[in-house]
Amino acid sequence: MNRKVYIYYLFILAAVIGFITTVQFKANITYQGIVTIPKLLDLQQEIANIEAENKQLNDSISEQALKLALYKAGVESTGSAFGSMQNELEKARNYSNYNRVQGPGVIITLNDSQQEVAEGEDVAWYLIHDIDILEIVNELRSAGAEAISINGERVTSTTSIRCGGPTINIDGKRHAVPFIIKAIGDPKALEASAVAPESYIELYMGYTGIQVEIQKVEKLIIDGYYGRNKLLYQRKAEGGEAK
Amino acid sequence: MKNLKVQITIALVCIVLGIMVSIQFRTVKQDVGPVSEYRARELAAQLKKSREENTKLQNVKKEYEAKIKEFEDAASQGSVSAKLLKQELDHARILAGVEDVEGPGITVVVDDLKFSEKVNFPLISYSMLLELLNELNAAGAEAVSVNEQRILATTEIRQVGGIHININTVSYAPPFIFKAIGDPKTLEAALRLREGIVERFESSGIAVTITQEQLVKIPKYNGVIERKYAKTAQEGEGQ
Repeated sequence: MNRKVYIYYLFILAAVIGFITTVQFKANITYQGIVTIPKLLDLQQEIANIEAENKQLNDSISEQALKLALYKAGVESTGSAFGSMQNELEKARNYSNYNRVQGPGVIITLNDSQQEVAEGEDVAWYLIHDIDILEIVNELRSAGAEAISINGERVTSTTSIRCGGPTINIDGKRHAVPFIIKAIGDPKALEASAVAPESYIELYMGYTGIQVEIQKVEKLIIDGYYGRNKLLYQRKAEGGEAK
Repeated sequence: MKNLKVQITIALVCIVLGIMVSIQFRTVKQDVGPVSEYRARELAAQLKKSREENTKLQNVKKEYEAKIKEFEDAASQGSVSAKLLKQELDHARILAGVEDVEGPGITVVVDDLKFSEKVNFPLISYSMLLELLNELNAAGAEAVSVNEQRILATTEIRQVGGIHININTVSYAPPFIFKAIGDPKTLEAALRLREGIVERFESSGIAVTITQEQLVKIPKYNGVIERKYAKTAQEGEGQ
């Protein structure tokens, strides 16, 4: 009698545990297949990217709608889109950085440190390097700078900033200290980007006494680009998608 | 005596089962954490919607572009000056990065081989990409894109949280695919200089693949170039 009941209990227990384990395992398979945290983050990232792209596209479409309207108006009033195309050229030239522009902005002046080199330290830490200027230009771009020049050299999409021994070559032309970086854009935003606690200047250029001077300016003039010919290899892609 | 043996066996089985079940629960907890399947479905649906919108917008954009091209072509047929104007317009647009371009050049793939995904530590930092771009420019690149984002004069390359890097405000994770138009030999040789950028990348565990190509296609910038502050200066205005 005692033994029979015992087996009975054991059977129920085994059934319950078996049931729980099965449910758990089954649930586990579906869950792991669909959702893991890295996967979810990837999804979120992808959505954010497409949304950002959509925003770019939307802006660009409204710009083009405006352009088209101008063309149409031009054709109606003068019989051709010639006048509107001239305006268009003006704009495209501004975009291409080949013309002289003006606007508010900041002037950043950089000079080598005058401090005495401390014992055991490298004199290189007291000088301005190509990478410093590259980083500062990158930060100005992040802060929305629309036109930038370094010692009068207009910065374009293909500007190179490289060490040339005692000088820095900007687009292949030699320049030495002081480096004067001019940037047109929202002066407050540009200044903030340069003096923010985590900015490149604050993080890497402060402690050896490299001289940095930032000045907000109401009206700044930046010359157009006059460097190398950039139409030797590239040409307009005719038809088809650029992929 | 016999009873004791049976009981010990059962106890052992129970312990083993208990450990199994708890391990199982723990694994599930670790992998899923606070997220639910529902949230994932929601995100997937959102992704699909955004993608659809993206295709739609691209089509609208193409339509507009075709119409504008029609107008310009019609106008440039009118006179010699209009034809020249159209030519200049095309050149300015190529240089500004708002026109698809093609030409000989190289493709550079910079990959961390999934390292940062596992460790969540960025092996490739924004400053490395900045330097690579700088090298390409120094070697005479005429047009460059990274992961199909055209590099403009105003393009920033920024680290944003973990391994992601923003280019034109769109964020990307490795691999980064650079395309550059220019003399393919010069471009590759410049990157492969002894103790040059490729060697430095490789010594820190980054895989770099360079391919010279007869025809590289670089897409135009898809957004709008802002010129809220920088206005064209009038002629004759000096510095």
